[in-house]
Amino acid sequence: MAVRPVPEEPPAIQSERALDPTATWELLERVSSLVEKLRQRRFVGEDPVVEVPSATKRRVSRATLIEEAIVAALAAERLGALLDLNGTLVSVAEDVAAEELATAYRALATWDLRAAESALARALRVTRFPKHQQRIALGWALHRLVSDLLRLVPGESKEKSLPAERLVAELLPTLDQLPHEERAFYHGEVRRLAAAWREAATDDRSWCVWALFRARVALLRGEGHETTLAWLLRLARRAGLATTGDDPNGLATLLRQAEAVFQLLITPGEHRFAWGPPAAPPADETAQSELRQLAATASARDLFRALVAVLTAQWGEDALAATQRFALALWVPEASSTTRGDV
Amino acid sequence: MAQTTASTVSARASRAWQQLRASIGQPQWLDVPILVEPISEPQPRKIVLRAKTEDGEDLGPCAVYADEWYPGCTTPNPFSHYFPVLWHVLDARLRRKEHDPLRLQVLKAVCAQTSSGREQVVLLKFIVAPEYTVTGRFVEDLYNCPLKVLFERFLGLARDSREQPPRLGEVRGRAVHTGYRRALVEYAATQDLDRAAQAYRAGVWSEWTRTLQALLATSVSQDGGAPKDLVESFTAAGSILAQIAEGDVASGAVELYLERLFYSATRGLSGRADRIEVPRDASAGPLCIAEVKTQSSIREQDPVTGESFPGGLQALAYRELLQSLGFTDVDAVVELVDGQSIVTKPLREHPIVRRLRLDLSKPDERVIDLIVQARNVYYCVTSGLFTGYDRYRLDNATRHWRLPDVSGQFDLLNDRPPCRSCVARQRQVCPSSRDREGRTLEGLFRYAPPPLFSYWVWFHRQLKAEERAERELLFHLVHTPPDALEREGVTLADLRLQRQDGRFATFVRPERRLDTRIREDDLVLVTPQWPDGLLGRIPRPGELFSVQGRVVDLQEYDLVVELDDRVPLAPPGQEPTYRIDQLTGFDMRAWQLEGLADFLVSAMAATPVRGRMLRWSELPPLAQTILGLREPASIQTDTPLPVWATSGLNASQRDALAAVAALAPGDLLLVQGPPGTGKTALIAAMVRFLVARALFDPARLPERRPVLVLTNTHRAANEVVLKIVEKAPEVLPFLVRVGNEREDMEDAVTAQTLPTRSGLPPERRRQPPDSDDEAIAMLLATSRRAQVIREHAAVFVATLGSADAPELRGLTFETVIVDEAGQATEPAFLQALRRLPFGYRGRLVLVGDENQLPPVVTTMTAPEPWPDLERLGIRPGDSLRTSAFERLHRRYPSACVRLTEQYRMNRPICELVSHVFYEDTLRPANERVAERRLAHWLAELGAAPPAGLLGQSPPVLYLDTSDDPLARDSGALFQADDEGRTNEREAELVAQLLSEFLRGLPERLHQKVVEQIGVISPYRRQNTLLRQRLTRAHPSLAALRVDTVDRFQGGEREVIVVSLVNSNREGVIGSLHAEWRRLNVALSRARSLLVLIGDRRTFTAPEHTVEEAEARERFRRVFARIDELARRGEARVIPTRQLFVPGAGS
Repeated sequence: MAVRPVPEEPPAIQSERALDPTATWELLERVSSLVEKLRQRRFVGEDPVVEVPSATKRRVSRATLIEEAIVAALAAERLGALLDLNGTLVSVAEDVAAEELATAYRALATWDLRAAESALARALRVTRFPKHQQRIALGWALHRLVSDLLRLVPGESKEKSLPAERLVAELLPTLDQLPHEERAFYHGEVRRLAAAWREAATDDRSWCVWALFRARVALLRGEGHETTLAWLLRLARRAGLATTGDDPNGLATLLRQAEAVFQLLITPGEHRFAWGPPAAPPADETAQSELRQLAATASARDLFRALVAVLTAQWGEDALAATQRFALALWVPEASSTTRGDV
Repeated sequence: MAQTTASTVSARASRAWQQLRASIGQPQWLDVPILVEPISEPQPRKIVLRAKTEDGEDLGPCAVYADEWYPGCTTPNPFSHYFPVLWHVLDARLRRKEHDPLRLQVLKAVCAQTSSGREQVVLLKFIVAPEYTVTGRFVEDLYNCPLKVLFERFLGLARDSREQPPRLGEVRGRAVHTGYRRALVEYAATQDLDRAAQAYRAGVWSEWTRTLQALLATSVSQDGGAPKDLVESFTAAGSILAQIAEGDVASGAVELYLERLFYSATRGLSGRADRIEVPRDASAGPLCIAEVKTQSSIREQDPVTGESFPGGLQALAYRELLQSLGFTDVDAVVELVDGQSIVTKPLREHPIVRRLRLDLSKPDERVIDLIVQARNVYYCVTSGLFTGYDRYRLDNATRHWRLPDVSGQFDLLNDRPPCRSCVARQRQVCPSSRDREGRTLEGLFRYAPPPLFSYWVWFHRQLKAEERAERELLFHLVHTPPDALEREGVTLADLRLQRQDGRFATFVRPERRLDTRIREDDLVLVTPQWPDGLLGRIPRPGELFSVQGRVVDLQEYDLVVELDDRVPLAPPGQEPTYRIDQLTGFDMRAWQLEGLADFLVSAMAATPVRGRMLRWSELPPLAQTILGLREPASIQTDTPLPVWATSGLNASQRDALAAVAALAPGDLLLVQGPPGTGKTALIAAMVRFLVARALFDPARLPERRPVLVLTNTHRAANEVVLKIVEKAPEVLPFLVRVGNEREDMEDAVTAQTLPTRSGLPPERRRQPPDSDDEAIAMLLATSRRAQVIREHAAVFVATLGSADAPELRGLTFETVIVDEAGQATEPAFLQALRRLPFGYRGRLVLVGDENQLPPVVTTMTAPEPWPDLERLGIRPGDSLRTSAFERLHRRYPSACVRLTEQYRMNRPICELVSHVFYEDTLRPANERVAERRLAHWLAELGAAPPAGLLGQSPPVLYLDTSDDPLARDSGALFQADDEGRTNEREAELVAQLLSEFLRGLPERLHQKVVEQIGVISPYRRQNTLLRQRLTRAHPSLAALRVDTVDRFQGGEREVIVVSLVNSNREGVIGSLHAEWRRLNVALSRARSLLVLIGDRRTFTAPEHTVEEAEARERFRRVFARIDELARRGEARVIPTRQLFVPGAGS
């Protein structure tokens, strides 16, 4: 194994030498003071532009001017305000906004709603570009769509189609700063996702794909052991997969372990819920103990893997890949039409 | 008198602080008010304050920590709202540069020992700014959705009035409610179920007929029968009467108080409970509040049983409110009007009480925490202290419906907001709404174009300042000694009840004159002033025993009040005295805020883009024009008009009509009409022309009507209708005067209201039919007629305040004409835009005169405008008193047609007015007007001019009191803007002058002559004095109209006498005269003779303030022009030193 050469003087030491905490705090205090002044003006209804101080009519050193410019730029960045740079207005954090937007869209594509939400909020805080603003608006609408996709169980929801479908469809034509291709792409995506969800409401196999997708998201988001197991059990039942079989590592065992988790919840005992089902005949201690052992070994991840394998064999296609039909595809601009700030 | 004044509460606060320091580390319940000022900037988890009593006694420093923590505390509450609310309030006050102390009602505090051994007072629970009154209903609203409160109560968002009217369910609830209340009162009084049944029917009938919304929404059901809601509201009588017969009222053991205002200065809460039952025998049981809710109310759910019921927090708040007043034993019930019955839920069984596991039989801090949390957060959010006008903060706040930054965690809140009943969802501006659809308007604040946002902020801030003044009024009444209030002119104390005749009560105070700013038509509270048995002290205004009323007549020593309920009579042995306090109605600004919010939302919603900052050039063209950013289309006065359209109009009126005819959708036209120039006649001509043109427009949509006329006052709306009756009677079948009939309406106007036109005049509404079936049949027939009339109506005349009336719901107009536009505040004027088609694709015509009186507002000080506002035409010195007409005229002088021919004043009076106020452009319309003199008028009456000053006077008579030592004014009587000055000498001169004039005329003419004389003074108090002197001088003069300038605007008389009042060595002219437009209105009311009485020296003295400089200059020009007219023999100037002095002769 090759050993990476160690530099004679590590860069960390250089930066430690350069760092001056006092100067840092002094600078940040000046930034904070300017930010506070700007906030004050915002509070009464203004939307001030941050001025970069100039040397006109003042006798100040170049170093002071640079410092003042840095303070102004940082304040503008903190507040997402516009900076007046020699008479030109610039938005100093658009790169940050673009990055956050990219993060948000990626998170949406992987169903990570929380990450998408925070990234959209961060992007919104700093952006001034109309294109970015409209992408954020679209991001929120797509967030709603993905949320609907996850929240509404096909065939069990009173909604016949995803409510956010209309929201996105009506929003898209109003996003005048986005390229037509991008809007058309997302329009198509929304229709595709909504159609997939509708199909899942009527078709067993599609429903199973949706349930697998739902369980996959539950695993990804760490929604909780029981939640994931519940989705997987429902999937197995709908797919007609048996819980009989003796292979200790086989699907049937994994399903029995999962069922045990829920059986324990409804078994009469000291802490039986008042709202529970009619009392079953008291289980003997041995049965209870077996259930506890089974439940203790239940693994959502193992069950998920096993189900993916079985369903892949059953359907003749990669079941995990099939869940991607509920994933939002992201628009990739053509190289020729790419402009700065495109996500 | 047991008044809780500053000194008594200060003493309590001092004692409470001593008590705290005596028990270190022991939290204590104090319930005392203090004033605090931050010692340093609020820190993220700690605020250090300096506390003082109301008297200013220093209580030393104190602190507030996050989570209700204090040194030594082992159980902090991380969900506490007290710290975040106080932090936001102090932070905002700092930003607003408000440095006066903040009032806190400290409920709980502790004197803790810090780790260094120092003693420190820590405030744990408190009510922030208790002087700001919040009603129980608003507390409930906040509890249901804080974000809804931000949208509705801070922003002022309202339903889009272009939508169709709501359905009948709401009216049914109200009808059953009213019927129930009336039946209950009748049964309590008579114990007769038959009479209670009649009262029930009368109540239901009155509700269905009172609300035009009901008439317009009622129609036969699909099976051809009467609508279920209508039928059920009548048939519910059976079960409701049975319930009444079984209740406490049946035994007669309780006394009923209905819809009484009650208020607690220590809780910052007020309420108007539907009913309060007070046991006649104080030991017989608790006082019981009943809050009645309808089916549509938002409900609280019991998580255990699933049962849901509304009104819990409101009832808890009312209970707490009454307890804080001193009523120890209070119970509450919530009654739900559910279909055909009333479901009663005692508070102790209410879901909210069950969720909290509250034991209402003993004090529970959690109850007050819940109420105070909702109240404090409401105050913080609606007064703008939470967000200020920071568009980014506002936008961020809308991201979470619970407003977690300020409300801690409302863990008792519903788990989701009640979006279905929220206008923010309907207007699609709420990002937190669960079921958004369509083209949502996210980023309402963030993405508003800067000029639009600045415009909204500028007016919103001022309206909020007005609202705050109103919300603090009750506190002021309770916290100020009556003698101080009497000096302010808002209270009359020591009154005795002389007579109570039905709803009318006469109060007298023979030993002291009623010097007050209260006047006829004012809303007042009458409060008995003897110790109440339940309270154990003298009640203060708003403490349950006050009765609301309206002043009908005010004389020197007595006044008559029309009351909502009978006032209680003093028990034997008690001094039967009462006090009367002036009360302004809450939420006076609500519809203006709504207009402003609607402009912000509708202007943005009309743009085709979403999701980004809008450019102002993307707003609808008319919105750009209103914002002062787009010049209106140039005026075209050469549009050919049919002969019939211009008959009877003068040249300038014809120009204005031609300009209206040429307007395109999205255009604005200003018509300036100086006094007497025939503005109303022009409006009638416009209406006739626009209706005729619309009749031949095949492309017009059925919901799009030709013309809507909006006015600032009901009087002006009536004048418009009368003018149309006179000048364009052919329009009448298509004209609707919006609203119900009013007492001050002429018959011809009443005939145009929808209820009367539908066959339901007031007398029929007051008299319900004998049976339910008859009532239902009559309502159905009437509603059919009302709907047909509305369907065919082409012209609607309404006030700006009723632009959202049921008759207008769902309708838009091709042209909206605003009369008296110079008198409407800018937010009030925006109501007109709400009636234009979507995107403001309609024509807007503003008729007014900025040289006459500006809008009436209570807050006189205007904020400093910021540079952005210059673009909109807003200048330093502008405020809510600057009308849209004035601003837009300044901005677009070329968009205005000025009417220059007037039909009122004769030549000398016209010359005076034209020279001083209209750059000499105004002239009499014809020779008949120009040459009209007093003699002509008297000749028409069949009399010759009598001898004496008035009878022989030229058209302008000036009685100069400069050298008259008797004619000095009284000085300011009240500490208020209008000061309440009087001038006895001027009053006496007016009385002598007019009585002399009247005595020279045949007695048979006295009534007709008096009808044509008006006396004007700017001061209410002087007018009261004038009335008294006139009545004393000649009995016929009792009927003479004496009024303020403001109330005379729009009126005219053959003879006008103006009493200027101010006469003093200091040259003080006061704020009323500083408004120079008041002088224009006063001088321009006369046709034949103008009499001016006043002290030239006072009014032409050097100005004291910049604000009065222009007024002084105008006064100088008035006197100079009078001198010039006098030189020509058209005016006469008489020093009053020797005039009408007893023994000196005239």
